[in-house]
Amino acid sequence: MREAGRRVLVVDDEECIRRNLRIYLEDEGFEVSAAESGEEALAILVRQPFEAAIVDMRLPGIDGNTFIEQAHEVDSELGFLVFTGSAGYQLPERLTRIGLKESQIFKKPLSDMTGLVEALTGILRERQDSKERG
Amino acid sequence: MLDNLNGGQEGSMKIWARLSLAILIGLMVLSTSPSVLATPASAARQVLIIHSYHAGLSWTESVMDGIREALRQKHDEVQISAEFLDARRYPGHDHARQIRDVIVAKLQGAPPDLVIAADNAALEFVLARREQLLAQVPIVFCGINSFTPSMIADHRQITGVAEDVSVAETVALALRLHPGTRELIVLGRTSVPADKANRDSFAAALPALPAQLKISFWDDLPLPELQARLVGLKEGAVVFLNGLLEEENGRQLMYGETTAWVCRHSAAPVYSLWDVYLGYGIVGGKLISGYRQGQLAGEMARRILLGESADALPVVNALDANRYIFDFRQLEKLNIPLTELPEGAVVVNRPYSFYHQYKTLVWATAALVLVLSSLVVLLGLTVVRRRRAEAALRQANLVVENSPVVLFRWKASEGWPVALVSKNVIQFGYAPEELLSGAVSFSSLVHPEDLERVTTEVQAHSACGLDQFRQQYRLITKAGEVRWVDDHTVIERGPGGRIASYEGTIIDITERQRAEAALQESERKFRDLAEKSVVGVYLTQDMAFKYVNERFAAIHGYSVAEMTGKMAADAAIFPEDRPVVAEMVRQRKKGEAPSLQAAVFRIVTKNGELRYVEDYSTNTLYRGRPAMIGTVVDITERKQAEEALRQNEGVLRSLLEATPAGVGLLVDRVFQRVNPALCRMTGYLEREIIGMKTRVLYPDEETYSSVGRELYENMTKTGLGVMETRLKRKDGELIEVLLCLSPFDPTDASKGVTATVLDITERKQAEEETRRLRNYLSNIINSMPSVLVGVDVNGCVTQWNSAAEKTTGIEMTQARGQPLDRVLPMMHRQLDQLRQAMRTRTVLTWAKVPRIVDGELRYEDVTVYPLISNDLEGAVIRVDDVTERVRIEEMMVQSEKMLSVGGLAAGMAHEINNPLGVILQACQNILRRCSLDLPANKRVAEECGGNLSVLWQYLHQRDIFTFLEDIRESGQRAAEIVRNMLSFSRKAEGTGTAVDLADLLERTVALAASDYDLKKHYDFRQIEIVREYQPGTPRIICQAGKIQQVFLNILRNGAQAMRTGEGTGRASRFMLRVRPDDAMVRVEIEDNGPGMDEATRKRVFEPFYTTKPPGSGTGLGLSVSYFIITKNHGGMLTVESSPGVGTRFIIRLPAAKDAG
Repeated sequence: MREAGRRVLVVDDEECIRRNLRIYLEDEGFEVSAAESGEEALAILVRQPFEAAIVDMRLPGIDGNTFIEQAHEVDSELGFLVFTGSAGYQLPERLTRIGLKESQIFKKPLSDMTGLVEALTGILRERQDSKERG
Repeated sequence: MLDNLNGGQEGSMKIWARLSLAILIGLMVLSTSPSVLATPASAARQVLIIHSYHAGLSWTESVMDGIREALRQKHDEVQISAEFLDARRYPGHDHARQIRDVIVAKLQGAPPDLVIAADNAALEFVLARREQLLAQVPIVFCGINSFTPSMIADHRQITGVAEDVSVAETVALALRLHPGTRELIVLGRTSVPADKANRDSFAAALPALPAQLKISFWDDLPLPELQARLVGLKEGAVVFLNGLLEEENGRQLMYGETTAWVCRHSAAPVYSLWDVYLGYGIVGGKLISGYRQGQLAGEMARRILLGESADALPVVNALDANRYIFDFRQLEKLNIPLTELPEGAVVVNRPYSFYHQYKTLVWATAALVLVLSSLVVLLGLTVVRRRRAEAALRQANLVVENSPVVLFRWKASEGWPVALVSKNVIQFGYAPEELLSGAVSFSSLVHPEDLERVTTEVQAHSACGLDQFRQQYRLITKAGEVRWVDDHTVIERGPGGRIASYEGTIIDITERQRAEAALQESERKFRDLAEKSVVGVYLTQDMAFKYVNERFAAIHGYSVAEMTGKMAADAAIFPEDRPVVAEMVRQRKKGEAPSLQAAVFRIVTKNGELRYVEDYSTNTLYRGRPAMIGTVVDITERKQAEEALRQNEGVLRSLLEATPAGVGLLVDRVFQRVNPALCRMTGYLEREIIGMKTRVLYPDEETYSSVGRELYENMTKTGLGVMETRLKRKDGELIEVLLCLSPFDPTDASKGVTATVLDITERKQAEEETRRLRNYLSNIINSMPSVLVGVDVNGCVTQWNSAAEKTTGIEMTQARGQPLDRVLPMMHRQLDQLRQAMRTRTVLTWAKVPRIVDGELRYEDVTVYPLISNDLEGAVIRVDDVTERVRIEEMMVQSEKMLSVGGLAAGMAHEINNPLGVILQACQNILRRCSLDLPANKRVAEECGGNLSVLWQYLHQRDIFTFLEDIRESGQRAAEIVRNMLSFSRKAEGTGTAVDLADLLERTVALAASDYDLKKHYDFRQIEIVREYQPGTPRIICQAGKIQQVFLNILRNGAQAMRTGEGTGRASRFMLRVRPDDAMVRVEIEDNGPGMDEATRKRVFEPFYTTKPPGSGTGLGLSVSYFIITKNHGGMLTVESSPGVGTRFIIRLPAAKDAG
């Protein structure tokens, strides 16, 4: 059963990560697409709409931060979760400027993906609320 | 001596006197004119005198005079001729032969009636040629030295006079006149045979002399040497002039020259044996007289010519021909009284002082005679006036006759017949007629004892050419009384220099003699007095010493003889002082200076020594003329003593002035004298301080009296009072002084004391400063946490600070002086190196020397600092316990290790985290897709024709889920390690935020309570939490997560510790405190667990140090905390712990400056 408005784009260069995230999120009822680079993800975003994106930072080609920036320009309503293996990752100012928060950052390894699902659900609910108000 | 003016007067008076006498005598001759000499009966006889020497030689002349005198007395017809062999001037053969040939030639022409051979050469010459030339001619000789009868044994018609020196008698005489004589010096010559003969005969004739008398023959000495020797003669020497002198160019000095030269230089009296030397400075002696020789020979010749046989006349013994003759001037110089002379001695050169003694008379006479003479001349012009002239003459006679002076004229013949005499001769009892008639010859009036002397003196004077002389002798009056007379005789010579007659005046001086005798007696007494006086006595006249006593001479270092009559009065005065003395003498003479005022001046003694004398002198008369008499005391020693005293005084004064110490002379504590230093020190002027009590220098009465008491007590006991005290300057300032008192007289301090004052204010201040500095340094040294030990060059302890005492348990007093290795055993093996370091002055360091203290390994740094000051040798040893530092250092090393691990981890964390993420996520997906709860699982299982429940059952029973769980857990642990490793990175993460530490601590406690691991091992909620949070504690800027991590680490450790301590019955409890601490905020987390021992405590922050069982921790927790606090936040993390009580971690973090 597919629910409208639960489309998530996973951007990670590692296939295992992409697969495990996709399986878990699909089991949780999300519609998941995946891209192995920022460029590929941007191309997908242009073709079809998503409610949220889970973005790895270290990517071939443009990095995660740049991708988020550009994706935001493509779809300003797209929600983002950062999912990085860099222990010292901190939000750059250009991302906080477009509304990213500490709570949207998740660091690998993640032993329990429940939190990730909760964060995604929060983003979707926020989107829904603003749409209803809008 | 008479001065020139007087001499001139006297000279003119002499002329007047003689003139008047001549006129008078002339007048008398007019009235009575007897024939004086008999007319010769036969033709003139030829007498040839052959002289050995030359004409003009005084000896030759004297001999000739004697011969002439004898022959002419009664033989006017005798024709005397002379030949001269000139043997002395030309002793060489050629000359002698030529001269002799001439004489031989003359003799061949006309042989004489008689030959007189004078001296040996002539006799030899005559005897050698007698047979050919003079076979029948009688020969008379004289002046024959070393005569022996054998010399004339072969001859007849020959006689004469031997000549020999009276050595023994003259030497005896000299010894008698100079009782202190120790040496006889005989000056002579050996180059001329005659002189050589004289020398030999002197030596041969010397009588047995006293043993202590030394005889020296100074033969043929060059004049300079002789002069030096003569000048240097000492008292006690007597010189005999026994030959002539020669200059170095060979010129021979004549008798007069020789004598004058010798006498001028000789410091000793000079005697001789020949009268040729007399009159030039010799004293006299029993002399051979040429005149006498000639006279005796002439007498013999006369008798032979009158018909006597020469052979009948015995040869005259040589010694009988010699006479004692003396020079008055020398006697006077030598202070030899005439009475000392032998009986019958002839004295020549008596001063002529007729004028002085009869001045008035002479003047009166002269004036009268002049008047009368002119009258007589006038009267004589006319017969008419003759009577008047006669009357005038009678009047003149009357004048003469009423005077005491008797006028005489004697004929120059046997017995001195009187040719003229004034009537006043009656005073001697004779009528003039008795004398004039020849009934009484004058010689019969002369006292028989004086006759020979008078005769000889007359001959001696005339022989010396002294035609005017004075004699004193005795006359016998007709009544037989003895009268002393003074006879002034003038020789009247006829043609050819022949003595015609004698004219004289005689005055009775008996009374005067008596008076003189009395005077002499008196003089003798005074002389004795002077002679024996212990002060020097002198008499000077005309700037010469007329008399000096022994003492006076001794003061000057001369003999009396050397001074009397010889020395100028100022000769011995130190040249610089002469003007002063001359001025004094001038004033004394004028009476301007009181005679009893002493003159002090210097004299130079004979040996050149300078002496001070004190001279009292006064004017007097000597021999009727002004003189100066005085006494002299040698005050050299007194002067020297005075000088020494003066110098001493000078030295003392300069000492006092120069010394920097204040010096005061006190009597009864009153200043008598002070030096400039004391004035400077006290601020008083010298005139202020003199006479002042020392009290004014003391600050108060109490000090004054106590210092006085103590000082004087000390001084009495030890002879020296020394004390430190304070004195008050004039300006009120107090000065610290060292007082030193010493009495003038150790037995009696009341006579005065010398006080020495040293200003020690600066010293005191310096001492105080030094003391303070020493204390300060000592404090510094003792405050040092390091052990500081000073050692001397031998390695013995000189300094030992508190740390050393504490570390070793040995006190300073015990350690001092001990060998270093005994008190500081750690140095035992380093002693050699220590010594070398001191030698080479190099700093020596041993770092981290390990040592077991109380079973614990400790580290010490030992540094040896050799002392580099020149006057102090040794070293300082510093020992620091660096155990803590070593541990920290070790920890730091570990930290660095971790940091590099951290850096590495940061690089690879991403790469590890990704696979870890896959593992963990995959586990979750597996578990989820096996879960019965997921509807899709059931559906897919059914689509596959299976039963999900069966599958689950299977997986469960085969423990698949457990394996998955293990994978998950391991993955999580690996992730945790990576996370911790990343935290060793120094990289500051973020800028930090202002945090309230109490709030953060609270949140951490809450977190801990819900911590998964904690919950698993300990129930955090059962731990009691006591909170002491001070309100208003400022916030700090930090990374809250990091600090929270620290808190959590500490809480976890505490909880863990308290759990191991369970069973003690004590409830676990955390004490949490937060409060400000200066500019920091202090957080304390205290548990009541079992605590740690010291060793554990010190290592608790070491990485991988853990007391937990393996596997229960990484061992990095507290290390990471330490790094977070100290490296990341600039704070401090310490731990305190007591075993059995608990552990307290203290975190201090800098407070935010702008945060409340």
